[in-house]
Amino acid sequence: MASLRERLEKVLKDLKDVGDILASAIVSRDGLLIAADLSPNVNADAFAAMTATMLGAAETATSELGMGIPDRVIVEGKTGKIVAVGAGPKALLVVMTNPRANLGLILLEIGRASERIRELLG
Amino acid sequence: MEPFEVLVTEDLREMDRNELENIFLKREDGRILFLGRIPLASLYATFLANVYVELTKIVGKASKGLILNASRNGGLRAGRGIRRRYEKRYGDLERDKAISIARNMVMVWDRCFGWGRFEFEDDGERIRVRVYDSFEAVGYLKLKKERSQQPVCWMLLGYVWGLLEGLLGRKFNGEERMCKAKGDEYCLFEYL
Repeated sequence: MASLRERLEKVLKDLKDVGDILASAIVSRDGLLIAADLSPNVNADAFAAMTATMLGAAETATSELGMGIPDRVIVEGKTGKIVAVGAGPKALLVVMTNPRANLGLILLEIGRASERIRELLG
Repeated sequence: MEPFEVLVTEDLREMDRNELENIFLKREDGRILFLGRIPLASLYATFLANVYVELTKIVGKASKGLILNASRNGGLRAGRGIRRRYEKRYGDLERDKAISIARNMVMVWDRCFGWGRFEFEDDGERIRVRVYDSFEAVGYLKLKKERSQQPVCWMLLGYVWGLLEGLLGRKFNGEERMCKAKGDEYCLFEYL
């Protein structure tokens, strides 16, 4: 039977098969890397800390404004988009797409993947 | 012998605080220099704990990853610096020597820095660092006046982690398995 890590990596691999997804990572809420499908040029540990900070700060900001917890954080740039969503109380899922990606389809797949991660991490 | 030479060639476990302070700390115009050139500053133990609390208010649990990552990078720079300086002077830095330098660094923190009382253990695969009265755990307890649900020694965990990676030239996985702030007798860092 596959280990938890292998099952989490399979979730990331399946996501990549959707197309337009360049890289992805599962990160603990406290900013530590759990599993990743990232380019070797990326400092995965720093990336994990940065994305958890991004989502954490967004959650604090929206709570402060009485808007509740955000569903996701999307960062759009000329060379790509970063989408970060919660994946249960312990983790979050971060995905990097190419700049012309169809976000509707991708958000649907990210939603499914984050639910699967939540189940796996219990 | 100059301080760096003592750090990389001697076994500091038998030296007392006065001897180590005389070798490694230099007081000059109100400043304290470590190894003759690195400025040190004493802070209240609660100061860092308070920084973590305030940072957590802004970015939530991600504050741990930020501090850990920054500390690990700081340790990595220090470890690589020692490694480069050693290799320039003595040739290749073998694993056993790198471990003895790491043990010596920990002894200096123990006797001169007030970071806690350290025990360093290496079984060839796993490195364990035990810290009694870690300043981060003590600072947390003093500030919050209650136990933490999670380990709180993010800086120490990260700094030792990076130092080992820099000295040994390889990646480790690190974790704080026990923490005085949680009610454990001591803090235990494990690196695999």
